[in-house]
Amino acid sequence: MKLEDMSILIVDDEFSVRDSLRRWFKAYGCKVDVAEDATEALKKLQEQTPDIVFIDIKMPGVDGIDLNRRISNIDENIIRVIITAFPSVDSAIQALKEGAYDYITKPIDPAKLDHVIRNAVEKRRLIKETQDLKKKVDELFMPDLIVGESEPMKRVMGLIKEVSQTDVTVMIRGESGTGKEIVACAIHANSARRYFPFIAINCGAYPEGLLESEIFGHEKGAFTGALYRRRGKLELADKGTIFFDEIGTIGSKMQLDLLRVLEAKQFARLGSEKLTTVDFRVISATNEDLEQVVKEGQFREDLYYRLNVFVIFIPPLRERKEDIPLLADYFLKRLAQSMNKKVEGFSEDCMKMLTQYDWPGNVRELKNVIERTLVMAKGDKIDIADLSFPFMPKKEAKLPTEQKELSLEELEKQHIKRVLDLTNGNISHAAKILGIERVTLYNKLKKYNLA
Amino acid sequence: MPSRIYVVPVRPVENEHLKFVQSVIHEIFGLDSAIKDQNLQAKDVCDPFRDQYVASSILQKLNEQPLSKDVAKIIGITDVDIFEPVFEYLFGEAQLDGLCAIVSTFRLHNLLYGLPEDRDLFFDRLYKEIVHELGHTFSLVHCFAPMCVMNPSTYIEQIDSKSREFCTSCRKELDTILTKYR
Repeated sequence: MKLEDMSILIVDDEFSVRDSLRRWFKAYGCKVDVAEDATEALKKLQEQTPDIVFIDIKMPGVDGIDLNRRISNIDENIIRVIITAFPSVDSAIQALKEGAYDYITKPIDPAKLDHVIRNAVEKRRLIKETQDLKKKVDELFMPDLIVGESEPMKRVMGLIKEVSQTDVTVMIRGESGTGKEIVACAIHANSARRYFPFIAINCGAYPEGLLESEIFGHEKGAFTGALYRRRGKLELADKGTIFFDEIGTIGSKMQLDLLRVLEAKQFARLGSEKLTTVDFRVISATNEDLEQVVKEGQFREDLYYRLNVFVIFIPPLRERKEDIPLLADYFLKRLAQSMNKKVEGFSEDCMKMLTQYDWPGNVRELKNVIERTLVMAKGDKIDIADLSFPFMPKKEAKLPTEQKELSLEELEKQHIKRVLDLTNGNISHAAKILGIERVTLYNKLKKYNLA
Repeated sequence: MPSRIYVVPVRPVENEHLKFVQSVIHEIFGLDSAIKDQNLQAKDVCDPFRDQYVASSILQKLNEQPLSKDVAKIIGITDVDIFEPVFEYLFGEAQLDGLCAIVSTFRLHNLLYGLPEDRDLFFDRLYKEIVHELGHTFSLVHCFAPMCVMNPSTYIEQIDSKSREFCTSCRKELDTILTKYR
């Protein structure tokens, strides 16, 4: 944002002042408007939002001090510059205390006006930039992060909304690949802490010694290889949210250390005695049966209660099959866009197959399958043949238990029949799934009398 | 067809300054110029309390001059200190995309800043001010390219730090406008 992009309103009861300043700013290419008193200025402010307002302090009726206050109530981001004569510098200072950006004295030294205006433009640019960034952060909201219209997912979204408004410690439970980190991120993005960092740490990915230094940071020389002082994740998460993934995997010493930090919100870097105070919100996640781990004595009960304040359980994908088409379409759209591929959607058979599958790897597996498929896809619709899908739907793939003593031929016959049913009798697709030539399939159909 | 820039003395002003302005006009704008003495006196617009002269009143007087058919722009030159009531001083003032401009030589002298007079520097500053103010009358606004002559100057060092030339973009814009006058 530059000076020439600014809109400026000049409020002064003296015509010569209004006219001189109008011409002055016009020469910069600014959009300039003038008002001869506060009433006219307030009227203009209803129709337009200037970036900068110059306000004369002494005006008949509502004076500059009062007008500054009123503009601040309308939009505190409008930069207000007070124009004053020497005798009323005290009033200008009062206006500054009430949020005016700066003041200039009449007659104005052009060089001073130049400085005031350059600083004001910079301030306005920063305000706009902050507003834009906040808007971008706000766009990181759930609708784009969490997809699902099933009842269990609606419940999860409701819980996220409720818990986001508080600073309560949250534990997210769910199978691997259900999107626990995304839920944690959504809680953070909806909370008052959203403009501060969201720091995630996968506790299962570090050996205990390293995890300690990762979370608490360390001083130079704290241990062999600690060449520099390093800030830990807790420090980085100040005023924001820290997310401990796979919390069930941490060792007993770490559990104790963490418990202390959660209670006191204070810690010391490894190798330092100085306590650092931090303000963070804790979200943890696990796919383990933590209650069982507590019973077995592998996880401290006190830490368990400290973390398990508000629980959000994310259902596995197989329990919300109605979300599969939505998720599949969502991933297809996003991934196709990033790969620059023109793929419109899935064929009916393909979607049926995706929906029937049990997805032990949950949403992550679904996303990976679609990503893999997209790499190879050629047409504008994804078909079963495109699906690089290593598994058959669970029910179909299971061998009939009552027929345990099938011959190899009988087993082959039944399998071919199942695949043909699945592909609605499409020989090419079936052959592709079975991994044999079409001619071979024809021969086998003839042999088993399946044609 | 308007094709000539009139240089109008607002007395007191040295004749040497007027002739210099004519050469600048020819060099930069490629237009004809003529000195037109209308017997304008700065004392008519003097503010006795500030001992300075009101720039907008001078512009008004320049505007009121009977116009020749070939007048493209009018530039007034004066050696007195000009100002606007709201400002402490001005080096010059122009009507944006208008007819008239005024330039004062008063604050272009080194002597005013406690330094020995430097004639070359003085004429260099006058050159830039003439081009800058006339640039406004040809609808150019302030430019933030540091070396462009349309870069705003609110104190003397700013005039010295910029060049006499237009930046590429201002020059291009000016050339398009000047086609109407050539």
